[in-house]
Amino acid sequence: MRKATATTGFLFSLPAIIFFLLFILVPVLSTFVLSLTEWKGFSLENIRFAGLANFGEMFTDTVFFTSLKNTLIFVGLTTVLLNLFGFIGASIIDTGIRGSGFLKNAVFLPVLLSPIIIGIMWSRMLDAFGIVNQLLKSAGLIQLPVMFLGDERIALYTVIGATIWQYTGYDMLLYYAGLQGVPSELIEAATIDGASPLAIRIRVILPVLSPVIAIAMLLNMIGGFKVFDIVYVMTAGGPNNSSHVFATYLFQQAFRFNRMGYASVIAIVIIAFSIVAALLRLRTVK
Amino acid sequence: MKKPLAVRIAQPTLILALGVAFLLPVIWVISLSLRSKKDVFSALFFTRELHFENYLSAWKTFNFGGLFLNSAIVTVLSVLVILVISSLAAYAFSRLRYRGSEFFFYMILMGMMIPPAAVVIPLFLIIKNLGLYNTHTALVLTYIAFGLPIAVLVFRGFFMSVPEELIEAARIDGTREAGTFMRIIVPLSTPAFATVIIFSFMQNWNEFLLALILLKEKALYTIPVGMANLVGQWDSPWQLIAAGVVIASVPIFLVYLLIQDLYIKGLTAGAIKG
Repeated sequence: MRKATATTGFLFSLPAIIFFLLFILVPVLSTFVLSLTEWKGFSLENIRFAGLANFGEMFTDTVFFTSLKNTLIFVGLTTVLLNLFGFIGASIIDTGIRGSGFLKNAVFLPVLLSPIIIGIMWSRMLDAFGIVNQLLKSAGLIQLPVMFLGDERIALYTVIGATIWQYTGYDMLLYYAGLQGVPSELIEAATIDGASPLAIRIRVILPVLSPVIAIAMLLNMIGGFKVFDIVYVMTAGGPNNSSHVFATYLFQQAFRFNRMGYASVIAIVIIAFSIVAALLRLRTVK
Repeated sequence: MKKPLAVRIAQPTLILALGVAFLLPVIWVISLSLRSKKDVFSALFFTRELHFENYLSAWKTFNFGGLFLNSAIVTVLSVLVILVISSLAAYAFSRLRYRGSEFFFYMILMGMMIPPAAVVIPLFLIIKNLGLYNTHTALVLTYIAFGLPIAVLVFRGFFMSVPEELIEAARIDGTREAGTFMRIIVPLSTPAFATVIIFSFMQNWNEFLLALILLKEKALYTIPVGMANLVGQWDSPWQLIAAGVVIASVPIFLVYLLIQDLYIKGLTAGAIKG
């Protein structure tokens, strides 16, 4: 009986294991092999062993360091601001004041859409002819249009802004669910003690929410490290490679410049960050 | 303690204004989608005349019929297979444990942390060597692999909560494991199935990177690749792009309005603690 159960169990899980091995584990392992090769074009016949040359190149590649810096800025800013806005939004809809339901759906709407759609929308809005420049101009604040996506100094931050607009609703809902779990006696007691509403938020509610904060931050970080779609559609890493993140730079090297070996080195960096995040995530699963 | 009238009016007004302000980009895009060619850059918001025919030409320009069909094929197939494979595996990992099942469970769970971006190069090679480059099968297979981990996690968490007595009773009746699974576990687990369906549906419907790399022919494009491709061409008229944005967004939003609570639960499945 027990043995039969074990066999059935193995058979039941076998398809999932096969999919995992073929499309996730084998690719992860082969990335390490590929990173040691020099290889132009898509045909495997042109592949040759290159030792650690790709890793050496990485350390002298300024665009790689730009993408590293940008990824960290992206992760840092989106994580902090999404959590902040999410918490504020959740606090507002948690009051239950009339209109809260509308606000909840309004802020959640962009979460439903693909980052491609969001990127297309924001690219038009912030274009030289878009509404933002129209308004700034008619308010007399600028003469020439601001090149939100064409200026090396601000392109990355424009994409970050669009990302925050898209995902605030997600964090808001996580925090909203968390707020439902705060015991009302706790808040009543603090109110009777004469604590101000703001003090209650910070001293009473936030500590109870700490598991929610941990998970929301972690999810935002994981999402930030792998960001590709919205950067690709808004700037494609430009202008002049100034807004590359890991994934867009990898894509450019692999599929635009056909440099699969070097791109695999960037892939390893992404995998390394992912494993760190995975270990942190595993602690919240257990 | 009743609030003064002014506060009772001011608060909802403020909240409504906040919601509308947040949606300004959406409102602007809708207004853009209804403008005539000559008003595209001159108007701020809605113009006097509304050009609904823009939607018809956007539908044709973007080939939305084809895009929707392609996205539907890829999404429906991958979600169906994810449901079957991940529920079976989760049942094994929770109720039919064998030596090594814990190991396999955590291994698959780690898959959740590997973003497709990190493995696109070998995936591209594997798909090409399987002769599947530029096919919908390529997308379905890879979407299944990347959709499995979270689905297994959701199902396993749910199956753990099914009372052991129910399963034991079925076993004593002599029902085979497959029968127990189909007749007892599956009917009890509709909430878990709903969560996984919505989560995987959203993920695969919106997926972009793999579709960008594994497809070549425009006729096979899914909605995100199709739209990114067309917008990449600089001469695409703005009012048509805007109409395309609205067309691509409306179906998802309607589904959300119909099943809001399920949707939120499904989308936040990534946040569950297992």
